[in-house]
Amino acid sequence: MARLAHLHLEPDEISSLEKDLSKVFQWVSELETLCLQAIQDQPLPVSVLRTDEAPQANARDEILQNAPNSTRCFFTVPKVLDL
Amino acid sequence: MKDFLQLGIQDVLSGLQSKTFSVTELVKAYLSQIERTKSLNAYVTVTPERALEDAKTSESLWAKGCPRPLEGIPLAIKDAFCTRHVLTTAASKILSNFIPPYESTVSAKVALAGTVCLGKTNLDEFCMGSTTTPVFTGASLNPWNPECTPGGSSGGSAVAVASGSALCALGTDTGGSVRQPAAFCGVVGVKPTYGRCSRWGVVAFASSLDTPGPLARSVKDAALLLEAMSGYDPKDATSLNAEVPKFSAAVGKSVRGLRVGVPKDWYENNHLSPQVLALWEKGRQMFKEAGCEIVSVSLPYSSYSLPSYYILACAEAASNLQRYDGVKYGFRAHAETLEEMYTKTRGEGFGPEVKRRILIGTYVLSQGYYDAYYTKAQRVRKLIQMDFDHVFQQVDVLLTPTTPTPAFSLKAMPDDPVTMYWNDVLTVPVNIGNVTGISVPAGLSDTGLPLGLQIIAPALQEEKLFQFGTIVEQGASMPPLPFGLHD
Repeated sequence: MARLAHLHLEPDEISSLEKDLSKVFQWVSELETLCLQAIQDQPLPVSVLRTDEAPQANARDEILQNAPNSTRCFFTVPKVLDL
Repeated sequence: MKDFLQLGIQDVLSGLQSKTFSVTELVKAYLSQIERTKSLNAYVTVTPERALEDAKTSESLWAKGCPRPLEGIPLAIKDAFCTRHVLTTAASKILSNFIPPYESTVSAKVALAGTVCLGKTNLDEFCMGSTTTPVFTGASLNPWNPECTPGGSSGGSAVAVASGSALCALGTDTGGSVRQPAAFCGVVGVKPTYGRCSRWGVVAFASSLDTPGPLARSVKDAALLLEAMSGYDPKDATSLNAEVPKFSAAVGKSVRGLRVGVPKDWYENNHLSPQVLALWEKGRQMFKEAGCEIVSVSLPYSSYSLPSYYILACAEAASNLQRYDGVKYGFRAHAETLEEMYTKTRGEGFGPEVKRRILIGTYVLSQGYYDAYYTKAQRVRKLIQMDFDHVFQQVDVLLTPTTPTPAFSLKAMPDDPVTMYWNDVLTVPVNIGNVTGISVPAGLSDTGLPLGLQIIAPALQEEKLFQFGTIVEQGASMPPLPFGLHD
């Protein structure tokens, strides 16, 4: 789960999180006792979408000010490929 | 200075209009109070220069005779609202150096209404928690008893209002994060209808639940602030295109002949302390004396609110917090490869509760478990909403306590997450049920800590919160807020 979530965990974190998550999943499993037959056909909520338009034009320089590392107009990151 | 700090919004506006005092004098008094109460750790960032500049702008508008609705009112903003060019951390190391290039819609609206921003208040990291004990920015302390938690996640805002270091404040309520700290700190807190106040520019926790809301010293002040916060925002796809009523006009309206529901399933909840049960009975008496009919009602599926909330909220949080990767902004861990950068940045940048919730959310959304958890929780949510729809055909509002106990000691914090999550047992149904609620201070515990009563109303009927909330406020006889000032 940590790999899927892109989270690095230390060994002591892993053992304490395993305990905590077991308790949480044991608790939420009470939902399994519910019979939802009556509303099985009801549509589930869907995400409300809007047009993908940037609300603020020409914000590149301002946005780059927060970048941990940048080069010219690019965010700079460690290498992806080890060539 | 003491007199300035104890004035409510209307009295401040009257004083400014009659030139009894100036905005600058008022703001300086609040900045002094922030300094005096800094041990409570209400604020992450105080913005004195901006506040004094805003004060000058306010004064010129008063002088021209064209004050805006909240002209000169000193306000604190939860550090989950992006404030342009002002550090916004969400109490997280991963945003420790983030300076937003834009302003959230709600903080922009209240600024346009004339408020003066004093600073950004502390919260549980990424709004996840009910104690305001983030690792990165440190715990906030309850001004009624600094050994106790102020509640959370909008604890900093509640502390600021309760300690006189802000006249009112912005918070966000996803599962009770405005109402619960309001109850613990003896102030008023409102969770408006989802979509009433824009989420644009609010650091996202759970996008289908996050709701900006006001914290204030009185029901009237909360109504006035909510008027300024509310309104349709085309930049937020879930913003409601609904007329914003004059909420403050509902304050003091008669409730005679109206019906107040008491959910018996919640009454039978064995997590409620005897003091809280006694307060609930006191609340029922207040409404009987006001001429209301008290009706026992049932919300049978509401007992599933908490587990379904934690599935849905964590799933949405896991998705929302994927954006924190060290690439574009915020903290970046040192790493040799891109993948290592992602995992170490997030591993070092997030606190324990955030990591816990991300992992829960990742699990419930993963292949093979999605239907068992997430889809099921969505259907349970629908059932709970139907419960509320049914009940509101029988009564006008519901009356419940806000919290199962008074504020607890920071030394006695439960280390088991499930026990901690039970703090929200009375507030979460309002979020999951897509209705609206207010917490109003209603009494003190036997150790002198505030207790709140919650009024719940149907969606888009916030006026009822203020109408019925006034009855609690008038019947409560609360002592003055603990500003810590001495003659």
